[in-house]
Amino acid sequence: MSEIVNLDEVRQRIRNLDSVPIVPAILRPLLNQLNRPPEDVKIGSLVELVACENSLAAKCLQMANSPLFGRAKPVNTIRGAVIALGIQRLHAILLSACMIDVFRTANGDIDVTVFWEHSFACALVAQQFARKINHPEPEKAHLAGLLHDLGLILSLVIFPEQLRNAITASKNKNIPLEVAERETYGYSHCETGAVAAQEWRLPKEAAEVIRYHHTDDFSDHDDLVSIVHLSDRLCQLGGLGYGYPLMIEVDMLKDPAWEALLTHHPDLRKLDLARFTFELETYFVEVKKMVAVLFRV
Amino acid sequence: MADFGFAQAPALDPAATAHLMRIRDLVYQVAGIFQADSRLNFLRDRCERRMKIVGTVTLRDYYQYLTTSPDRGGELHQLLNEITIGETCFFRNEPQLNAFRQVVIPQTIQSKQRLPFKHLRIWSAGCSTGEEPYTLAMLLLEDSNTVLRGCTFEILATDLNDRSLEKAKAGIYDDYALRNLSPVLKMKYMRPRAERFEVIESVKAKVSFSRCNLLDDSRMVFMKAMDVIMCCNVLIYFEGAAKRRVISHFYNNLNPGGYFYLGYSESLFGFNDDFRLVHFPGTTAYRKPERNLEAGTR
Repeated sequence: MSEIVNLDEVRQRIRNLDSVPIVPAILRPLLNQLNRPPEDVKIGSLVELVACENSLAAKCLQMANSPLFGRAKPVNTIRGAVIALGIQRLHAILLSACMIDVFRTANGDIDVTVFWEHSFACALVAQQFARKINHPEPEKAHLAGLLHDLGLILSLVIFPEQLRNAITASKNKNIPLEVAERETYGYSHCETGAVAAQEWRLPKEAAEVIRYHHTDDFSDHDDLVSIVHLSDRLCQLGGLGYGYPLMIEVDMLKDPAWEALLTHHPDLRKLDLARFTFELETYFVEVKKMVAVLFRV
Repeated sequence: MADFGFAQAPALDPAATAHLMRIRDLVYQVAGIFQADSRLNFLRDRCERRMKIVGTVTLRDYYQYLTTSPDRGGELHQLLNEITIGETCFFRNEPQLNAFRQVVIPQTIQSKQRLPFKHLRIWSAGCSTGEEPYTLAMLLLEDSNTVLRGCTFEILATDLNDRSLEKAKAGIYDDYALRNLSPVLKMKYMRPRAERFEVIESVKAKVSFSRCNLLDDSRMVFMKAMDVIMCCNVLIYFEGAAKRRVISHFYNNLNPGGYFYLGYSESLFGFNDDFRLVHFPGTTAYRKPERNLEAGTR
């Protein structure tokens, strides 16, 4: 049994993370932008922010040129990349790029890229899912998908030993990681992620998704929580989970998140889930390439 | 999946890509087999093979041919042959077999807990030259002392083609058909014969081969009480009402809670509303609901 850590200690350790270089410098102003309505965001200041950190600029250019965004002509300037990616997606990419820099160091024997591949895959799937059911803001689904497992990535840094034990238990017992986490150290990445979301003043919807994406009752939550929960499952089952398969059978249509979504999105009934599942194969190939780029630059 | 090695194909112009997508959608709508974007080069290669034979130059012309020529049905059949060719081998679809062995079989046995005689009935429909039913027999024999302790099982394997069935009964294969078979299982369940390998008797004894036309209603009603039906790359050759009829036979022949497996990237969407789509790691299947409408999921 691992040591149980309380959430106040988690909060304290997150605050101590500020001593890690680059995060406060880039992340704080970024988050300030993120909390504004899109029409108030100044493209110029975003471009400046990106330009002041070479590795970020390179990442943005590579992303903007990724086939995932289907551009016919290559993007050569930071300004071009910012416009091509769009504000929401840019925020998501910059945020994750900053966090990758923080978290790449403290991983021990756990491969952090696995978590990022899962997060990026979930972001893409959530966005596509949102589009298919005519959700008004698929970009928000992207951001929420990207950040939904923030708690896990954080746990890798602040208590890697406990997380490692939870991963082992999840693998050996064939149980979901969040259940294994609760058994191992008393709470899951939903709770640690919620503390981080609060500390870093993440957008309201993203924070709600981080906190509740493994709940049993989705009826009182934003639809984004259901969308990310289902996308999370599709990624896990599609092979971009946490690096090991859970041998389970899932009937998506009986998932409480599916039922909750149906009440607001009747178009869900028309979704060809089999085809959507087959389509994901392509995204997953691209996601792996993209994460490799993020970690190389 | 195999690496088809077409990644180097020169890029298509947007108009040609649009026609390729149209062909992809046509194949999916009519046959129910989907080619993801990552397989579009593969689809294009297969279309180009057919284009040489039917004498069309552009993908646009070929799409026209597939939709308006008097031989469109026959041509779609030929294209489907190209798409699925060479897929038959032992242990063909690993995620599907993993789900079969680790989830489907244990769950099915569990559902028979209260029965005095626990017997599994599995049907490989469209078994071709026998690789699939023999693979299933090997997997089940592997678990006969663990999950399957106290259970008996039988595998019915049917096909329309007599020549395929003869080959299946003989059970003699070359290295290519055995490329996915692990050395341990090969040693255990195959014996060398001339330059090739033959399936051993204890495996053959578990599989009974017979000829069956899936459109033959009088025959289909006798294939009752199946726990699992595998029907890979077969339904794609049926269209419209015939396809619906075959699927409903499969549905009726399954026990409540039974599983229906299709081939890689095959779907029942638009053809049947009774089956439930279920997901496993890396694969999907369909399931007949339990009698009490509580198909066991977790």
